[in-house]
Amino acid sequence: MPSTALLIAAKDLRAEFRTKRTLNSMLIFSVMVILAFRFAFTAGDGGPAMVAPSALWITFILAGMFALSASFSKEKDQETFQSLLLCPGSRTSIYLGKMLSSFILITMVELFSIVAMAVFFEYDFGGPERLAWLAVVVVLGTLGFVGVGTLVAAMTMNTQMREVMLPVLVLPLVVFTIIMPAVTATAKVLGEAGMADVGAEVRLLLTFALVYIIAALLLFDYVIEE
Amino acid sequence: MIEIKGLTKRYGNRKVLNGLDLSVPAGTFLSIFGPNGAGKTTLLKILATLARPNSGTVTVDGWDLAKDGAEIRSVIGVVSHSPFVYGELTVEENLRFFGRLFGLGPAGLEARVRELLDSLGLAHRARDRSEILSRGMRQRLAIARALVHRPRVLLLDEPHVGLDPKASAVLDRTLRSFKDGGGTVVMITHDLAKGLEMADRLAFLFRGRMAREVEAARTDAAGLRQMYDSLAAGDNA
Ligand SMILES: Nc1ncnc2c1ncn2[C@@H]1O[C@H](COP(=O)(O)OP(=O)(O)OP(=O)(O)O)[C@@H](O)[C@H]1O
Ligand SMILES: [Mg+2]
Repeated sequence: MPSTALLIAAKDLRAEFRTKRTLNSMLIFSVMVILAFRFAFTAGDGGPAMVAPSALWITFILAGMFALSASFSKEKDQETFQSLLLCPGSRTSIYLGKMLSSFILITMVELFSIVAMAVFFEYDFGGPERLAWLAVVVVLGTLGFVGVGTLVAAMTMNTQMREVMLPVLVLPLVVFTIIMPAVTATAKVLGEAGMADVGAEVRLLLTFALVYIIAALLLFDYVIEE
Repeated sequence: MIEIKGLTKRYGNRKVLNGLDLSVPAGTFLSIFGPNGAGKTTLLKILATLARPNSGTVTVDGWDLAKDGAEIRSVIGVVSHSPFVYGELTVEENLRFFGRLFGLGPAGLEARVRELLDSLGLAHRARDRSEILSRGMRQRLAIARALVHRPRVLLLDEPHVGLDPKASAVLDRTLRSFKDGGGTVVMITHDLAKGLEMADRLAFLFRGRMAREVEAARTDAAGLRQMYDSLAAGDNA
């Protein structure tokens, strides 16, 4: 990771932790979604075990949209994006920096959501082996989501109704490639009968994370040109 | 230092720059005048690699704009209408961030930041978030940001707008010492007197091309006013 990307990510996080505007929105939103799931489903529907994997990923993806959108809209509103473009070095560093800061913010919210889930659903996430696999699935799924989401957020930064455009464009791209395998894998990892093999899903998530990131690196220069 | 030949830029069907030629030798202070919408900001954006031209060649400090964007960015400093600084970060954090992006090492960076804070009269606001600064103070920060990496070329788009007389004098002093250090300046302004006072050369941009260029020493305020008015009269016809 080039140092420009690290500098940009560090700057983003420093600015965010000073006001915590995006982070607080994401945390509040996550609690609301989890509570909605908690009370919308009863034991008759198969109980928490059935709902938990979908609830988790819907929370991750929707809360993640806040981070992706804010990452560029803050630069746009302060017109600071121009000053990033004025820096020497490759512009893909901007993509990598933005991706990294969004990834870190979203991962923090995901951790929080998993804990909130355990509390509200009185859910037992099982031993270290399950948690380790859950971590692998969450990290790979998030990487792919942030990889494609950062590109789309840069594209939609200059459009009207960017807050709507972002999810409208990102959701179709991630439903089959990330959300479905991630939900399946999460269900397998957390399965009541014991853990099932998630090799296939993990490979799929890894593949799409790489495909999205490589595609974004190739396209980023074009989407930000005037 | 800056060589522009046949520069054309279209936005949709509108030709904003139309075969513009311009040459700015190293160490020159050039003021560009022209009516609203003539293409001045567009020209500056192209020089700053923020917009891509449709045709024409541009070199800055020997670098070709079409393929050496990163090298050009490392030798230019840009001051525009908006300050391009982060509101949540303090004045000094902003300068450190941009300094590091331009590759300044930790030791040199701190000295450079202090020097700029002092010379622009920002030292007492160094630890304030830039969003609470007044407009003029933020403009001073923008100037410091543009200078942090010791550029060789300054591109300025109406840099005096919003500055009080004192801040305006601070900017003038900063620009003079930049020029004395051998720097090249391209400044867009609507203030004919200010443009004349600071510059060695004057250029008039009308309808996407340079309508006229003169040495500043060969004219005075009245002559300049006349030149501008006669070009503007021809422009409307
Ligand atoms: N991103 C853009 N998309 C479409 N048209 C643009 C864009 N930027 C500038 N233009 C058009 O290009 C023309 C020149 O604009 P420019 O900002 O370069 O003028 P200017 O000489 O700086 O004017 P002013 O004195 O008002 O600042 C204008 O007609 C403007 O509407
Ligand atoms: Mg302008």
